[in-house]
Amino acid sequence: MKVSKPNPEQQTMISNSVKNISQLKKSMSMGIGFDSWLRLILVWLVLITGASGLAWRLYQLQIGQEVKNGNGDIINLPKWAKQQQTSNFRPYIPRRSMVDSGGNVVGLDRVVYKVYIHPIIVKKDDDLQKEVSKTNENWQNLLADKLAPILTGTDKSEIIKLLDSRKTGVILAKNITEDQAKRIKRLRLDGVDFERRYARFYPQGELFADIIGYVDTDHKGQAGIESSQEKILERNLSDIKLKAMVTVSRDGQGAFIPNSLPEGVIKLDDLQLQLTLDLRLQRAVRDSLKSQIQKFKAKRGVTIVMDVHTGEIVALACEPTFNPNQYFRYTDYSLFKNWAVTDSYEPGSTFKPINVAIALDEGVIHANSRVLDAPSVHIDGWPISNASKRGLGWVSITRILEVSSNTGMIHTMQKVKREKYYQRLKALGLDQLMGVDMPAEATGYLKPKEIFNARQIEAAVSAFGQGISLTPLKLVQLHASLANGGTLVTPHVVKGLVNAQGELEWKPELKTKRLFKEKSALSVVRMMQSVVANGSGRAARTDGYHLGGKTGTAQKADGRGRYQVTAKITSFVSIFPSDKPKYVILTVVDEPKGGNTYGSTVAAPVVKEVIDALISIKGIPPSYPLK
Amino acid sequence: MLLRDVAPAKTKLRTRTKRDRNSANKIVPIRQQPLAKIAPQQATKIATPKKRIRKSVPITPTPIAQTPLWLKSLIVLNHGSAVVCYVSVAVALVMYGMTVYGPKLWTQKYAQLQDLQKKERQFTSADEMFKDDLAKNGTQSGSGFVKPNPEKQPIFLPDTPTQPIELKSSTPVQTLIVTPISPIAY
Repeated sequence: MKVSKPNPEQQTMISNSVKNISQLKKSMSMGIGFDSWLRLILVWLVLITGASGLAWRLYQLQIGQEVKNGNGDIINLPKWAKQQQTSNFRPYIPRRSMVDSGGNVVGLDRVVYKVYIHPIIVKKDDDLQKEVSKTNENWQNLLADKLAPILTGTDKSEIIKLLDSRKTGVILAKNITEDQAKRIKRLRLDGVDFERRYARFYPQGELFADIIGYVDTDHKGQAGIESSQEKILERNLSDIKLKAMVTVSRDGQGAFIPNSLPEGVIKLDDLQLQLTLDLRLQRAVRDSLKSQIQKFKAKRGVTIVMDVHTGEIVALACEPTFNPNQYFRYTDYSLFKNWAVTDSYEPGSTFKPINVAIALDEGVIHANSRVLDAPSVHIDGWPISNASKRGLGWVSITRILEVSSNTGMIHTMQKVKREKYYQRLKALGLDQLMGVDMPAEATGYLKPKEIFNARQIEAAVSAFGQGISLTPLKLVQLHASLANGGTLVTPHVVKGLVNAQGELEWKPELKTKRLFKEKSALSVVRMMQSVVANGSGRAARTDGYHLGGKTGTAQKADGRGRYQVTAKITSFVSIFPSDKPKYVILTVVDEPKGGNTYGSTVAAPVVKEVIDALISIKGIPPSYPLK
Repeated sequence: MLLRDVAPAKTKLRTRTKRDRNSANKIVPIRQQPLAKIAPQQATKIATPKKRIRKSVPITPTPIAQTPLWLKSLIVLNHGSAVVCYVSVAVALVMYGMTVYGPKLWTQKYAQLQDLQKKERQFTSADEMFKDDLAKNGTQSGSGFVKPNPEKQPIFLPDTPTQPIELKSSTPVQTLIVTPISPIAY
């Protein structure tokens, strides 16, 4: 490699750099210069001062735990932090909603707010004061102007009156909606408190009141399903604390620390309580019952529609009733009970088919037997006559039911041994609970064995449905067992718990029991079909359909062992369609006023309307083609 | 062990210094040509990069033999603290995620959930109220709605016998018989 000779300038450069290197070496061997030391120490000092400052602050905060604020007050830090980092948290755990068999919501939880206002604080609100000075109006007026459009139903003058009433704790509104509360919150007023709570809301008002009941201000069910199914509705939470306020931790920015929340706060299942009721049918049932009650100025009435195979109550309406959204407005507490379940009555003639089934079962008669229908008979010295005061002589058992003969029934039931008859009545479970899922179920009444067996009269009156008592629902249950071929099913309104997809995830266990022989049950249904076709049940007839029925007009006991002169209870029970039984419909009207008040005139028309509704709602095909 | 860690750094430093020197020797003749052509005044201006080279020279690390112990330990400390720094940044990010970002996100989502729940409640009750209102209005006279007339029955179609779906008979799949292998240790 050829290297050219460096010129003088380059030579000086090289010599300079060599000099510099030697200087560097020299300074390195001597140590760092004073400037550098100074700089180093300065940096070190700054860092150390900073670090010790931080350490001191850390000591103050963590060990001393007390600091002075701007006003010179000593603040206890742990207390302050606790205040800032914990807050009361009320998790959203609503009662389960209730849906009907078609998935329509019939009861759900709503969030409502109670608004307190503290006038003494509100009037010092900065924004309000600014406005007061600007407009020269008084603060009450200004505030009322702001609140009146939000609180619909309360006018301005009322608000002003409220603001002047007390210095603190004025209840401005009790049940405002979430949106109203949000609008008030947006006003950003000092001295306004909100109390959040749940309120039950029944969109259909009084339609299901008898079955569903209502929920009080403490969110506890007080009547109906709300009360009897409380455990299921309230969600069976293992942690009782969840239902009340929960104290949770928040971080410095106010965010919740999820770990501090009790387990299960967020993981709520989507299960709803499904009822067996049908919204549309219920509407039809209530409407027709209501108009009939008004027409006859009756004391009360009930209509029940039940599936005979499953015991599902498809519709149940009591009249008069109440609006569960405004339960507090009612002073007559008897409205809150569902008397189809809680009150028993003497069923009268509607019980006759049950007796016939017993007689058939015991083999004392058969479907074509003839029995004596006398105008009247004397039993133990008591005269008992037919309602018509006439007798048809020896007629078929079907005819006995058609004309609703009392003497014919006595004649029939006398064929059954009294002890056996009592045993059979006992087996019906008249004096036992059915185990329905509605609250305050009452049992019927059956006289003690000794009394029943001692005299003839007891069995005789029982033959036409007096001297015994049962609840309307029990009567439906017994007729359903006739309709379904002799099985006693448990009436119920709770279908189970369904998820969001409508799939049943839980259903109650229901007992069934054989009560009548299938053959006897079927024979009785056929007889009841004849009652509608040819007898007292004509009023319920619907063209194109076979249906069974039985009227009942019974005297009412006055509670002192005698029957009342005028008061009676009229009823009509129907099995529909009778060729392929699916539903039992019972209407009971208590104390209808007027002359022509019988089961056939008061109760049967209601049942007919219900059957018409059933045909179109449930799509029941006709039994025979119409001409 | 510490010394062994430092050792490769030393050798690297040494090679770099050597290469620098060599390159300095080589650069000079190459830059010589343009310098010769340029006027002397300009040449002085171009001399500035040389000054820079000169300045950079003192930075060249000292040969290892002369590195004092305190410097060595500082270098070790430097490396060590870097590692500690990286780890602590990673830990800090995880901690942040767990303690600050997590709750923040949770709270946000919870507010969202509450809002959705509120909407659900409102929609459900509004829907049912509309339906109820419709039904109530329907019963009023003049609404144009009539009760289903049993005389005019709905049309019921007779049951059509449906052919049950028959599964095609297929030859059953022969299951492969697998002789179990008993565990053997090798």
